[in-house]
Amino acid sequence: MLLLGVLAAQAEAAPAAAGSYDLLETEILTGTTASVTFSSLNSTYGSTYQHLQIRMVARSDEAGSSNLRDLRIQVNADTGTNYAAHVLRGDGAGVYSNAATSQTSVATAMSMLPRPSNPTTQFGAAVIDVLDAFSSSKYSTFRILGGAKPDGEDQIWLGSGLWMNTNALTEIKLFANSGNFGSNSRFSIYGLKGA
Amino acid sequence: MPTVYSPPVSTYVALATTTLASTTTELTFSNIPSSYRDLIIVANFRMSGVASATRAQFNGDTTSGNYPTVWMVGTGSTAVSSTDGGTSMRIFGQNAGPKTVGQMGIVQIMDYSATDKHKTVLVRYSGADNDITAQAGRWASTNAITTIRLFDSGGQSYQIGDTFSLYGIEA
Repeated sequence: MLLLGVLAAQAEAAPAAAGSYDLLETEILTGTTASVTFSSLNSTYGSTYQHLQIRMVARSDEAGSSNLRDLRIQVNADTGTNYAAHVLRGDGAGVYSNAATSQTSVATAMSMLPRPSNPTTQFGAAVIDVLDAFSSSKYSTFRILGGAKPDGEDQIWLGSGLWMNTNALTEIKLFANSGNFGSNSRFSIYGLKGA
Repeated sequence: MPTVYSPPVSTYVALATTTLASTTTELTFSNIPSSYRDLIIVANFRMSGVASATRAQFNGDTTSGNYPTVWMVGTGSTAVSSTDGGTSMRIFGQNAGPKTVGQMGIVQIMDYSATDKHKTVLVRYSGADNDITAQAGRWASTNAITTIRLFDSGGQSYQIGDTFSLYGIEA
């Protein structure tokens, strides 16, 4: 058996000066909220970072059935039909693919939010990559790994999203297809520098 | 409103890494500090023979049913989704078979230090001679993770030159 102790130097060191992968903002919900928005992105981070990553652990507050609620993404306050999404997903019984175009957000079958019928200790998670987030010559693309395995529910999916606009990202809004995010959900955004 | 970190906090900190100098049937990351938010395991490895799957166990917990998991796997001829449970979490290789060439996996362990949440785990795995997999799992404990044991449920060995790294992500 090989035992890998955590190197004491790294574990106890104070955070270093900003490097290539930096924590920019975090929100941990103390109550329910309809959406979480990271704003002023281009003005604050656009000159320093090339890519963004959002890491989230979340649940829904919507009572009723036990079905997981879906994640939605909207950027730059654009509510027009300028989004598309594709998902490859598994639910423990089969593998499926979903697609949606001309949507008002990145939205299709990104199920990950346990509901109050599941204990409050059970959450879903997603890691959202946005490459070239501040480019003014490219549509914004999102690559997402997400899912949840609360009691009685099974979802794992790979998601791809598109915002058909070349503007740099100024704002990313996360919300559910129905209901609110539940208390203790956590959303963090990171910047990745180019070489 | 989000908490803005100014200046930003450099993260993705290498906590432990190894390149195997000898074969081993298991390895354990231990003494994991609770000062980060997420953990990431990055593995590049091969097995000694026809392997079952690499499994993870947290804090020595062998309680049956504490590791519910759902995955989807493509083998090149079929795409299947299924679930798992048991006394450990299946993370790399959902399709039993040869794993003697490059296997790569990244494990995201979210909110590992939170004492009010079960631990949600997301995995992407690629086996050059076997399958490609995505997975969501949950360690049904509110304890902060302090150790992670990795082993092959078929008793196969990891090989010389295999690399395993553990990273801490602040939030």
